Amino acid sequence: MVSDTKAVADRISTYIEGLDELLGGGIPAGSVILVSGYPGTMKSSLIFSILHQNSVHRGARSVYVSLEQSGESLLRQMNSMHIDVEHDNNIRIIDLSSLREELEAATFDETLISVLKEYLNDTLREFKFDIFALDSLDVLEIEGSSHSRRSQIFFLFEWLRGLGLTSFIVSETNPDELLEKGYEEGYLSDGIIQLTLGSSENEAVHRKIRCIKMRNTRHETSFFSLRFDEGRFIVTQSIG
Amino acid sequence: MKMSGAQFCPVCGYALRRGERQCGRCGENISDDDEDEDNNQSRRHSSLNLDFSIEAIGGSNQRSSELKDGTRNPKLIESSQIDVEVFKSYVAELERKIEALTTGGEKGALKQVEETKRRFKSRKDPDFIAAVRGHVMRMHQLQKRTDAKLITRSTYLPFLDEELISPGIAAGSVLLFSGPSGTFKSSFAAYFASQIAAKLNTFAIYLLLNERRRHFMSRAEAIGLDLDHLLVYDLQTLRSTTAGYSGTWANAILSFLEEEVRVRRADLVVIDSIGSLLSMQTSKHPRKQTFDVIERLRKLRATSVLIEEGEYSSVVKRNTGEAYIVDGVFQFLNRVRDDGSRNAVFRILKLRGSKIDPRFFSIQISAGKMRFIPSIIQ
Repeated sequence: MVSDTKAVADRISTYIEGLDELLGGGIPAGSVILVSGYPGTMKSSLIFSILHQNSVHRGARSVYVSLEQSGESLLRQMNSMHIDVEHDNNIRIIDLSSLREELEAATFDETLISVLKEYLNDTLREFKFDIFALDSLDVLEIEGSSHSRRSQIFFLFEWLRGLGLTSFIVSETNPDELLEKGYEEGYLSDGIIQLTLGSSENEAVHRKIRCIKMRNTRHETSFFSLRFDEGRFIVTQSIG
Repeated sequence: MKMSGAQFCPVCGYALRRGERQCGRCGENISDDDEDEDNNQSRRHSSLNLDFSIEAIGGSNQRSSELKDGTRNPKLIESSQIDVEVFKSYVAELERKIEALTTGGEKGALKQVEETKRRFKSRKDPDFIAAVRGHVMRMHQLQKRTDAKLITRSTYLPFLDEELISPGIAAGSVLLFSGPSGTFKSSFAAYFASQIAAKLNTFAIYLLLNERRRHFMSRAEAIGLDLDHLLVYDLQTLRSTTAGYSGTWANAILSFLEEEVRVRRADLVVIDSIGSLLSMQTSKHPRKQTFDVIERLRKLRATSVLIEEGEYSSVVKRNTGEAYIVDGVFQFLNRVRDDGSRNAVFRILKLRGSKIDPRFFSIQISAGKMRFIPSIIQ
């Protein structure tokens, strides 16, 4: 059952029935969590659901940074799913799609990460938030820099932890590849949640979720069913 | 950065071992400026080698290793085998071909590839701090504008079957139809575009970059589809009609499309295929290039459908990232029946802003109309 009370002191509740139980009460506060999945696996919706429910239940403030999808499109998408982000003043959407072109034309190799960090520092001064979401890491890294990928990700994650933010970072890389091929975010993150569609192409759309890694948490790593109905996600035992 | 005496990482200050080229703490690459230049050179060549697609620039979909003038297609040669001078001649030849296809002869995309950025020496560099601060101020301005215009009222195009998509497709969306050949992607897109255009009493534009128009139309006619409201432009037509536009050929095609949408007051556009269009451009950042093309399509007043050849499982792994950037994805595939016959089916994997029926549907065609029947998994 979903708890209506504030999550266990050092954990952020997802307010998703079945998921909090799976994670021993929620996500450890201050963690950097990768949310991984192919298109159509509801990565953005799952994150917005967590942000919105945290706002409704405990007045938590959050910032969602989108690097490709416009704020308008995101709101329309959430409206159609009955996740009322539009009227939720505790959620601030930052749409950086238009800034990317500007950075591309810049003569310095200042990266989007450098600018984003500076901007979030400013935002924190007037809009104190404790949950942060970034969509997506894959877009962030393509912005061209002579600094290594590992260096950029290392500093970004360290910085987010230093601010005490609980962060959800969207990743488009399959977690199996993340870990097998040794992608930095795989081992630099504190947790990895994977969302998938049915494993076979001949299967109807059946969404699944699993927690591959969550530091300081005892959890199962098998797939569970992820259902969505009228604005709420529910995680149940996977059938088949 | 020269390596002499005690060395520290310029980024995190970690003490480096003698001769170390990467920081053991933060992973920062430590190298001489000269080496950087060499690396940049080799990266540029490698990038050019991977990005060019002569057959797309020339318009043919054939995977020929010989060009008409007898030179070999560099895409088919291993990069390690290419002599730099020979490769430079390929580049020069390609630039001439692109210029010949465009009037005005700007080589924008090619020049951009060769540009390098000034690298900041440390995060405390005042120039760097000022540059970042400038962008942050710009972000604050953009955010104010975004906050002011975030209104989600949308108009929706009615889909062919309201049971599948409700209330319809948000006007201005960009959709991807992905699947292997022979799964009715093109026919579905042509029919869908033409039927909706008919309802709105306008026209739909179909850009055929892969196939000659008569083959396409004869196939559609053979199926008996009603495509009265479809304007089909094939590659040959485009070549003659894009004269006068500048930039790379892909840009010329997009400019032509913008003009046609405006003049014809078209509400729908189909591009067959997006792979062909993207391969006409060169970029170090394929994902950024795809994003730019899709953003340009979003700015049209029309809704766009992009056809993509290939199994969806491989499409999502492409570095061009179109499946992530678009607003909707329709997956097409052939399902093999027990008796060995094939049945083309599709499902909607995502559609931003709409409610969808996620099941597989088979396509039935009778009397010039398409019907969608839920497909039973065997």
